[in-house]
Amino acid sequence: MAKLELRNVKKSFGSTEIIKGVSIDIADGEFVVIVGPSGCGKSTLLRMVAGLEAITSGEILIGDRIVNNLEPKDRDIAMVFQNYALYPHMSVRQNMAYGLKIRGLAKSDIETRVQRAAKILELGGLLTRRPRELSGGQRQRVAMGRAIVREPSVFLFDEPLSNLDAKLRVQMRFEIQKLHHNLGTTSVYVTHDQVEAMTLAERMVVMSAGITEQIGTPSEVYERPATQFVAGFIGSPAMNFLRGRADASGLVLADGGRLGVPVPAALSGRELVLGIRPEHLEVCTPNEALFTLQTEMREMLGADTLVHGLFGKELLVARLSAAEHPSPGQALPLRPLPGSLHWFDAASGARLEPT
Amino acid sequence: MIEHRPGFTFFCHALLIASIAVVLFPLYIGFIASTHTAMRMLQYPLPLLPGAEMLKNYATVLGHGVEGASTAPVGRMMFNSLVMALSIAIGKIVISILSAFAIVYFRFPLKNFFFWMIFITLMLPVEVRILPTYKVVADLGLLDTYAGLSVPLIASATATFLFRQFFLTIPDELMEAARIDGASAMRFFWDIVLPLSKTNIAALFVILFIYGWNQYLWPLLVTTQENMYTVVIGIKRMIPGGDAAVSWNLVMATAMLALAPPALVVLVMQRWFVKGLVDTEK
Repeated sequence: MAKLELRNVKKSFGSTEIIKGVSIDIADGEFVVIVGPSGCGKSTLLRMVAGLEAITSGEILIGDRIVNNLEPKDRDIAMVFQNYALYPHMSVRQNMAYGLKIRGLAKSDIETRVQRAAKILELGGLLTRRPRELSGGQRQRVAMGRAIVREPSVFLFDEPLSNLDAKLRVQMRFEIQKLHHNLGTTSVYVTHDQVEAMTLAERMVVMSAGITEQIGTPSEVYERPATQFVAGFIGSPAMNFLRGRADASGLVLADGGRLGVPVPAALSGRELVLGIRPEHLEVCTPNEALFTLQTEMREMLGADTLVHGLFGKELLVARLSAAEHPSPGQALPLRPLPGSLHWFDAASGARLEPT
Repeated sequence: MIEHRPGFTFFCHALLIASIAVVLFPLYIGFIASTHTAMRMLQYPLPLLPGAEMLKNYATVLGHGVEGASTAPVGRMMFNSLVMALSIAIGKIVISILSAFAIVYFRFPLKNFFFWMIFITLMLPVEVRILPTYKVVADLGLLDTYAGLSVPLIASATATFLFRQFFLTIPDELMEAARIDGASAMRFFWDIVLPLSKTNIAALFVILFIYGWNQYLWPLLVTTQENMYTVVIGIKRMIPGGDAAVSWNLVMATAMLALAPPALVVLVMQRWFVKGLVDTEK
């Protein structure tokens, strides 16, 4: 077990900079999820930690050791791949034991470790099977078993659940959580799935285009997104954004519409983006309404209803209780819950918090 | 076929049986010829039923060779052919799997240049480079040796190319997982790549063994001593020119013997051979 530290890590392929200086401190035993859209560099970052990609500049420390120039096997890490990367011609037992065999562990030690991992992951009856005889979830568990037997300082997960169906994903998510609870090994988990990120992370790193947009606990990221990108990426359906110029009476929108929202005095006169999460809108009387939504379409999700509609020319979404079913064309007066407005600078996208 | 009309089934079977008969009939004639005396084979009509001389004919060619023809015993020639075919097949597989491994898994300067150099030699048949190759082999004193018979035929662009294509289908993550497990490049090759290539190796072995066994021109050039002849040359040598009578019974016995090893290799490895050619699942 060890802490993991990235110091201004950069990566370029030729003249293209993929990772533009990332610094993350991961405490011993912490479970950190790196989340971002595809192509943001999150997998590359993980592979750099693993030693599968060279580091262009910066430093990566595992424990107190700079590992920039160490081979993957010497970094004391274990990695779980998206496609499992099990050796197809080896049995489950051989798959798990392979790394230990290369390290030259005694046969009895290997067997003890394999048995222990098999017990944790409930793979006991499958040890003699080949990967192709296993289901997706079982393969995933074998891949995790192969990581566990190494007893590494750091676990690296590269989108490990992407190839599973929705139900298995929920189950494996739970198992990964349980595993981390039992072993307490420092873990870095890369995913594009925000649900995985929110549920698994002790802290999460939101990345976009090679930079870290925000590092924080899931609730921090959800409640106080540091940038407009984070606000739009985390949360489903995505946050509603309205862009406009603030004046004394509210926000003058780009299309000329006016939103009678109380703008904090410090932001007056600036070009702003107002963000409201769909779940923070509620139906009210026309007098109390911040705006009126022209209903376009509604989606019944069972527990609640998503209402898509137009305010001026902006397409907005509200997540309302299942009791609401406005028909298309109907005007729906909405107001935000108290304290649920987010302000971002229109040019930089940075969160603005006037006190 | 989706259709199940009886007439169509009959037609298909009849066609297949007829084709097989066309292919097998010469072989049958050859076999029958190898069971008669030389005299009988010169009389009209050709026999279509086995004679009584089979054991004697085969014992003669295997043990002594054919009277009057300048050849060693067929047993000796079969051994020569076997050594040559095995050296070529195994040598080609070893060299091409290693070069394909280097080309796919390593980054080195001029990698693509080397790949294309290998690839271009695909277009050059043995006959094109036969004179310079002969000169080299002769200067190295390899005439009438097993090395001279097999080494010049070992380099193989086809096999390298096939292995390269196969290696490209192995997911990169396997290599990365092996690196994290601490396997060196050659350990990865030995523990992961080689077992995964088993069926491909088997398929190639069949093809290359037959290729090596059937070589005619090259052994003809580099062997001058009878005891280094391969069986394919031997058959030709048994047919003397001029007016001398041909011992067709013995020639056919030799031909039957020359057929046997490749046929045996195909029969034994058929299952793997087919798997290696069609199996894409890993």
